[in-house]
Amino acid sequence: MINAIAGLLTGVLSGLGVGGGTLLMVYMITFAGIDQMTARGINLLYFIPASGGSLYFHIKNRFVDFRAAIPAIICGLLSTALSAYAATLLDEELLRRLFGLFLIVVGVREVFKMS
Amino acid sequence: MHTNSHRGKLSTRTKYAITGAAAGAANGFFGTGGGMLLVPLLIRWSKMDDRRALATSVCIIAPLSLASALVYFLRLDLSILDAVPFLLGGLPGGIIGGYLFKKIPATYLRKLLGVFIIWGGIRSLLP
Repeated sequence: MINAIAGLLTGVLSGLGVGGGTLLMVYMITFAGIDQMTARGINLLYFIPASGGSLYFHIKNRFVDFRAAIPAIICGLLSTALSAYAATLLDEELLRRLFGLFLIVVGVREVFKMS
Repeated sequence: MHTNSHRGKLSTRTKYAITGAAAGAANGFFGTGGGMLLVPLLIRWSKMDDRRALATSVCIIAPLSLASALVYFLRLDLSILDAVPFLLGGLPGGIIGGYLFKKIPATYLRKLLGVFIIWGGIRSLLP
């Protein structure tokens, strides 16, 4: 199935840590005709096997810094829960656009390696 | 590495916690994009090595994604059947990515990440 191939290709990117999720979202919404909310849910779930597969190697190769990961995960889970709730109260459109602007700045700095 | 650094106001562990919280916020609000904040934050703020930052970000996002996924699937009553092909493809994809990871120069990976971040930003700006 083509969806599986899309998952495979973006899975490689996700495993590399560069973010296949955005690509997969575009594929799901534009080509597979999946609605946005469902696509988001699938995107989140898809990351489990994609990251799981890659983490075997990352951990084996000792690339994962658990001193960072553990506090980050704990606070991240709390933050995810709070944010998911707050999202229902706030203007998502505005937030999303502000985030988009922020991401562009971050991305440009990464591509051009500015500090 | 010291837990309480004398330089700067925040300890290393606090920085990691805040970094995780930032990623979690993106994850909770938008369902995506958390990883895009993580890597630059880990590299620039916590001074982590490029490659470790990329790998560690995968490790951090995984449980956050799972938590958000559960919320989405339960609240929106989504069918897991729709997700199955992507899951089946994602697993070998992730394995391949994990295997290739150390063979690709970290600078390329960072730039590729940067490109995806820019793209994510542009898509977020559009309606």
